[in-house]
Parts: sequence; C-alpha cells; structure tokens
Amino acid sequence: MWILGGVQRPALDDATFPDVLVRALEGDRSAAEQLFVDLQPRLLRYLRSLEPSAADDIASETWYSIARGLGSFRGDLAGFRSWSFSIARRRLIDHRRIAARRPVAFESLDDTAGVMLMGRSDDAADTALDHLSGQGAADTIARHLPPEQAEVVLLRVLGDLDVTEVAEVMGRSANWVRVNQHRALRRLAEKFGEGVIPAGDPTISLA
Amino acid sequence: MPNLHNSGHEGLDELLGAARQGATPDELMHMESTLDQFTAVVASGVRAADDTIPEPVLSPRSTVTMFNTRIPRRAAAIVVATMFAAGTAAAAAGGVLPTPFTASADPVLVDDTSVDDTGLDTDSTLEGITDDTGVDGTEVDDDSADDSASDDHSLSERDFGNCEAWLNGADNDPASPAFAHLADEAAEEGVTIDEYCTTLVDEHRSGHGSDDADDAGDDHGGSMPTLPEQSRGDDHATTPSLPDDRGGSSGRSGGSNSGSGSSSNSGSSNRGGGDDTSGDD
Repeated sequence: MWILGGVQRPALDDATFPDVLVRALEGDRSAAEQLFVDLQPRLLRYLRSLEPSAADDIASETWYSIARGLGSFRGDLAGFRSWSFSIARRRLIDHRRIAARRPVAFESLDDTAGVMLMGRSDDAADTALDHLSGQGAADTIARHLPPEQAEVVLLRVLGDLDVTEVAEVMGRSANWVRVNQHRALRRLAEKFGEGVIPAGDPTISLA
Repeated sequence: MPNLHNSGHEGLDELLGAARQGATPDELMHMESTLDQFTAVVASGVRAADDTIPEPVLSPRSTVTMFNTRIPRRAAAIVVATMFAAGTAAAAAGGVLPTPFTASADPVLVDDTSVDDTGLDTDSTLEGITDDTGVDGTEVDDDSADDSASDDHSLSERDFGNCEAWLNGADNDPASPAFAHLADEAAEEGVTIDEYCTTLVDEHRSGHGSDDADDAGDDHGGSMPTLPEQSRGDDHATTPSLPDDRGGSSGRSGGSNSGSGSSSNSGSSNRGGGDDTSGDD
C-alpha cells in the first residue's frame, strides 16, 4: 500500500498485475500510475547509479518504449520488470555509444569529473548505512564494485530479478551471473559486513 | 524471488535493504508528464511488435558500419581478382609460367633441341585428337628417336660452335676452357684440333643441309614446328579441342543437305543419318 496525493493505493503485486496491465492498455491513468510508481524508482536508482548525468532522460525514453511495446507484452509482474530493465539497459548502452562519439566540452568534462570525484570521495567506513536512502544505497553498491558485478547486484536487488532473468537482461549465462554475484556480495561483505568473509562462504551464495 | 536481504552479514543486509526502499518524491517528480506521454502513446495505438526489446542502433556515421558494408568488400574482391588475372596474363605473355599457361616459348631460353621437344609435346597433345587419322603415330616414333639422341646432338652442337670459333680464330689457345674439350676430343681420335674441327663442321653442315631440305619440302619452315601438325590436322579436324565437332564438320560436309536436326551425335552417325534421311526423301 502506498500513498500518492493523499490517496491510498494498493501496491502492485502478482495478483493485481494482470488487471492493472489490461486497464493501462485501455488508457486508465490510475493503472498507469500503479505501473509507474512500482517501476520508476527502481529504474531511476539503477540508471542514476550507472549513468548519473543522463539517468532521467534515459528513464523517459524507456517509458516511451514501454508504452509502444506494452500491447505486445505477455507475462507476469516479474516478466514485466525484467522486460522493462532490458529496455532501460539497452537505452543506457545507446546513450553511452552516442556519448562516446560526441566531443566533450571542457565545462561538461569538469562537471562530470566533479560528480565522479564527489561520488567517490567517501570511504566505506564513512558510509552511514543506517541513514542510506534508496539511491544512496544503489550508489554505494555501484561505487564499491566493478561495473558488471554492480549491475548484477542492482538488477537483482532493484529489479527483483532472479539469476535467469538477470542473465537474459545482460546477455550472459546464468552461471556467469552466479559467479559475479558471489564475488560482488563477498566484496560488499568485506566492506560493510562483520569481518572478512572467507572465500567460498556458503552464506552469501544467495541464488 | 531472490533472497538478498538475508545474507547473514548485518551491514550487507542493511545496504541491500536500503536499496529497496520505497519511492521518494524526487523519484516521482516527472510522473505527470511521463504518464501523459504514456497514455497518449498507448491510446494512439502506436505499437511496434518488434520493439518489445529494442536493439541498440549504431549511428550511420559510425566508422565501424562504414567498413562493414558490403560494397567495399566487393570492390576489394574485384580489385584482387583483377590484379590476379592481370598478373597471370602478364606472366603468361612473358613466358614465366610453365607450359600450360605460356602463350609462346621464349626463343632465348630454347635451343634447337628444345624446339624439337616443343614439337614433340604438341604432337603428343594432338595425338589423342588426331590418332584416328593414322598420321601422328609415325611422327611420334620419329620424335621419340630424336629424343633418345638429344644429348649427343646438343654435345655436337656445342663442339660445332667451338670448332667454328677455332677455325675462324686467329690466335687460338688450346689451353683455354672453350677449346680444352676440343683438344681432348681430337686427342682421343688421334688428330689435331684443326682436323677434328674441319671434319665436325663438314659433317654438321651436311647434316643440317638435309634437315633444311626436309623442312622446305614440308613447307613448314623451321621456326614453327608445331604449326604444320595443326595444319595437317586441319585436314581431318576443324578444331583440335573438340573432337566431336571434327566428326560433326565432316558430317556437315558429307551430309549438309540432310536436314537432320540432331547435332549431338558423332559425325559418322550424323552422316549416316543424313544419308538415310536423304535416301528416305
């Protein structure tokens, strides 16, 4: 249950999703709101942690693609999230390719460097986990992990995707996802957990 | 559903749990405009069946796509093929390639013996074509005899040249490498070099005179020994490479008015068919 504009609305779950999807396709704005409220924070945290400067634009493009393809979508809530993250990830890749070919002005370079320096200035010891926001937690994960390991964890946590769905989104094998997830969680546990986790610790084999 | 918030490590669980927190006003800031666009697109029915998972699109200005197009590959293939063909043609014209590709024998590299061998090869090439005529069989035997004596012939040719030099020279040195062989030959026969060379030159000139007479009698000329064989073969075959056509041409000449439409048969059968048809007519 969540509140928007002073009105209580039911949370989106597997039971309510088929009805919400049908109504959204019929143009029901409240159904579209339910999809948006469920998905948009996840998408934004994922995109902002990986591409802070263009996350909002990429999210907007993702919603446009979702609207165009919603009529052909078939599946449950987990499938909808996986499909949406696939679109978002491809939009992110498109953005990075275009940005790589675009000449960067000195001002924007300075801005980007400033953002990066600011984001990476704090250490794990300085991170107050108790007061982390959703975006702050996502940023912390992205900051302390290699890019692919961070993406695995973010997709699993933010998208509520299982190993197979993450593998499909990233175009990798399920085993590759399991290995990278294990390494990522071990690294995060070394940073934020209690003591050093020995290699092969079964308690962090979460798949 | 993945169970990522119960790893057994408190700090890690807090971190992962924080990432799952509910939406903040900042994250829902653009909801109205996004939903306006969303509902408009859904209502307009703009749907692309192949847009469910859009593929990344490369910019048309990408250098990667420029070199991956098929046109430059085709152009490169054409250039390579042209260079190969031109190089082969040039090598063939220059006589560098072996016999099957050589347009003509290089006269610098070919002595009289090899000219004879060329004639032999041509004869043997034409043998399978003109063996029905019964002409080339005799010639092959003659050429094989020439082959067996080719080593002695080349030796005498060299001695003949040296002897002419000896006889025409004013100041000959028998110890020189060119004349040392003549001195040995003359010593073996118990004569002087002058006597040996005089005899050899006389024998050689008389022998060549008879060859020239034979060649003149055949109207072949000594420079192109292969042409007479072909012209002789032309009496029996129109095209050496198409033995069936040879019969066909005979068939046409023999029964050209037969009106037989089947040209794929042998000449004899055509001729016979033509005769039969004309007889029926």
